[in-house]
Amino acid sequence: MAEPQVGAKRAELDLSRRLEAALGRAAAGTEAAMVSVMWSEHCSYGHSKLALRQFPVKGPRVRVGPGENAGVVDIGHGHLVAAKIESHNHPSAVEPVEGAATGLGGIMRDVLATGARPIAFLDALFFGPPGAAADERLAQGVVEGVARYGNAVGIPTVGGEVTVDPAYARSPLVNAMCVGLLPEHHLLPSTAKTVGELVVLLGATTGRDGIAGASFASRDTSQDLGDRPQVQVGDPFRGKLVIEAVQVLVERGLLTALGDLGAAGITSAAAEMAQRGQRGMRLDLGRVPLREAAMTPAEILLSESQERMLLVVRPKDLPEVLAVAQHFALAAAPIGEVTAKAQLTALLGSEVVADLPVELLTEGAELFDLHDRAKPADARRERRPASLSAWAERRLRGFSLADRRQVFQRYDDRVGLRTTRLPGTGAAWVRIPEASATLALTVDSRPFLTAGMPRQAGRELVLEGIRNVAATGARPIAFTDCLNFGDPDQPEVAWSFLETVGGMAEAASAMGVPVIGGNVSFYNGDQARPMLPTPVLGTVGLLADGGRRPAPNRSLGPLWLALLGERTPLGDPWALPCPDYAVEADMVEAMIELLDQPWSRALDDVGDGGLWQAVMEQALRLDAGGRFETPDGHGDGLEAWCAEGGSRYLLTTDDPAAASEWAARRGVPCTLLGQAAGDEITCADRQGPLWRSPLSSLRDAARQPFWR
Amino acid sequence: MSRQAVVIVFPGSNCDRDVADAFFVATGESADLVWHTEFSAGLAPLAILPGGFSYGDYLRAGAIAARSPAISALRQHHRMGGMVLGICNGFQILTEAGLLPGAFSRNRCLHFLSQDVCLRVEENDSPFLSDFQPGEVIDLPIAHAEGAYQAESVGPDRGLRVALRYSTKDGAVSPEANPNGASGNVAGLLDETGRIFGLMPHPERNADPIFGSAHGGRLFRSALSAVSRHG
Repeated sequence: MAEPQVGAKRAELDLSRRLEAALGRAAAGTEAAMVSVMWSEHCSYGHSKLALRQFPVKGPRVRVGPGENAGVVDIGHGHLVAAKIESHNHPSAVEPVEGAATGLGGIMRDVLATGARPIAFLDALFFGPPGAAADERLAQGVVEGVARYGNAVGIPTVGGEVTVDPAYARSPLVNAMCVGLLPEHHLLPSTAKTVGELVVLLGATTGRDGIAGASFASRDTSQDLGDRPQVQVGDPFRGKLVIEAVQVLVERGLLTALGDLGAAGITSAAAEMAQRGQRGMRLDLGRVPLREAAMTPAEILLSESQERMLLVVRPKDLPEVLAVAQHFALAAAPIGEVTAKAQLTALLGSEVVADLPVELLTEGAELFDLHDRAKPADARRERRPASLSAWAERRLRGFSLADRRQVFQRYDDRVGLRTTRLPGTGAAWVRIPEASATLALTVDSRPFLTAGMPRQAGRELVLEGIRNVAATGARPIAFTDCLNFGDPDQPEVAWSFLETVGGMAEAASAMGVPVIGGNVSFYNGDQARPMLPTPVLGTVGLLADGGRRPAPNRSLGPLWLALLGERTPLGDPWALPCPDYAVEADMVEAMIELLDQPWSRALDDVGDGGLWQAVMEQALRLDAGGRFETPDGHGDGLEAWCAEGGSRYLLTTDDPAAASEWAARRGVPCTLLGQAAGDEITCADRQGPLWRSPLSSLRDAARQPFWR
Repeated sequence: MSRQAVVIVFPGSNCDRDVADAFFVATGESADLVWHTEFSAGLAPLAILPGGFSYGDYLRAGAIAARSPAISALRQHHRMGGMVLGICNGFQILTEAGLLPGAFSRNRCLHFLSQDVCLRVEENDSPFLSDFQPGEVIDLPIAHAEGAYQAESVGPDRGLRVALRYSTKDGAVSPEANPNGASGNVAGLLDETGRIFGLMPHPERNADPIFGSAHGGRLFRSALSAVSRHG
């Protein structure tokens, strides 16, 4: 995954000196190239590794935590779920279609490498507003890339998020999450342990595409890699065949370990699998199936050609493994073996072209403590709006209500026959009849909050993920995070990154939900326009419903909206309230109970845009207006309607008396807002109307296109 | 009971397992997955070509699969009295192979569309539709990028047997009800024998009541009962 110009910037300066000290000899050009890429920020997490240690990563369900391919959690009945989210921002900014497509392919193979069958994609996309041709090209291209890869590879895109703001002009963010399912006994380590086992490269052939996309800022190598593009090209057709071939290999028990080839290609996959097993590998580059003639050893070792996996197999199983590959018309070749000495050795013919300690590659990069450079940024806290009308009109002109279906309908959301709750209404449901359960999946982000108050926003992001799945009746069981920030050498960026991670870690720990993996993307935006800090969180929730719960039916009778829960700000009402984790946890349980009640027609969490946003979205879904009033005790009307935070949910019910009675008994604060009816919508407080609008204005806002 | 149905799997097919699962849910009979090189006439009375992107849809959707040995075997299967159901990419393969007339172009909107549609049943003389009433409206999802059916004539008098047309939920075959620009709102087509049926919507995605109407399940049951009668 390319991050141009990134490189292990400081390490680069004395790379050859450090290598010489470590090796006791001058490094060969191929070796320097391998080390340079492995020590890049993208591969080494040099600026983020220390901070990420704050995340809670353990729990009774966790089978594989961060650091391997995808995280894996136990969902019971002998089944596991793998999940991971990853960015593909830089390639998408250069070539949006292929950038987004290979982003999906990359994260799909991370999940595949656990032994799972990938069953769902979600994505969080951030674009500049329409109007500028460059941004429309990027937005359309990214969506086309997601559709082209995801639809063809046969994995449904079940949900996601689209954010449109000038902050992402010319610098789109593309974060893709993949979820996989596997029976317990299919779980494979990404660990090469047994000396003498064979290392097999499976999938596409290896070419010069995406050479060292992870960062080839390699002034310190004599290798001339030319001007090859650093954006790889995806092939969903071959990706699909790789999925099916791996399923057969896993089912027949022919693999002892499995890894995917992403950033830094063979070098990274081989080094990391060897490192985990405290072993080495000897690779014969002459046996790598190539798609181009006369590739140099460094090119072969660092190619990021897509749709490839690295298998470790027992020698006796090799013929059967190769036969499976041949059945699916995939290239496959034994390219080396696992060795006792923890050394990665590459040969071309009889010549040793690289011979490096595994640990030097995987652990040698310098780690930076961002605390050393962090400096608080000026608070860019959103000031109190002048009036609800001004605030609402601004949101209507923006894209907060724009119908996401114009994007989602380009994705196959149902292949696999698991999607029982389609994209567009909160968390998606993916049924798992194998484990008598349903997964609730969502991705969330809060960039605008993060810019002003990163620690609070980090907490809020975690709680929003939880509320999102709880609003569909699920308990959260795992998070996967993708942290998109600017240049970490800038003090303000370092500070907001640390604060965000601190807030997320605090909330995830307090709620007892582990972070099972993720990805950090630095160096987004440019000097002139620093990136809006954009942490994205994928949440996996579990409904123990037998996998048979239908989505709630539409009711034709009269409906009321009610606010459940409270927001109790401390100090500045426009800051986020300090979360009460005990209340949050209790509300999750209450919402799960509520959804079993006959009077519950719909439930949404109150998140970005506060109560106003939640009510407007529901009005659009019901295609009905109404007069909705917040009573005293919620601050002034303006605050009640637009402030964010707090464990709050919006209930749609056909029996408000029963709902209130249940809420009182359950100890859940419940405020009846009003009946949904008519074609005008009014937001009011006790003193009277604060804002009113014809429903048609909401419909117009919903129809706004993301591109023209 | 001997094997009633097989699903022919091409490289790049991606609805194959879905069809087999849905067929079983709807009928209680299993439809076995058969790799395309393993298919031969007489394996089962009903052969299903599933949706997906056979051979990556490279060249044109369905074009490469239509020229594979499996399709030669499928012609023989049909000559021997077998039934053929082509869903989405399977329908595209059938037109590319000339087993059904016409061709497909990109959707009018030029991009992939995944959505629910209403369909009017045009006739029930075919074994695939014997459980339906002409004029009945059913709903199924579509998911395709090259789904705009094209033919010189889509009227009733040119030998084209239109089985399903995109319609409103009241059964009006109107331009507004046409999601992809198919001429004549054609969504499903039969050959002159009524034993080859191609349709763009995905019956397997609406076979289990958990997904909605379960109209897709009726289609599979109808096909199976025809097979049982003939068998």
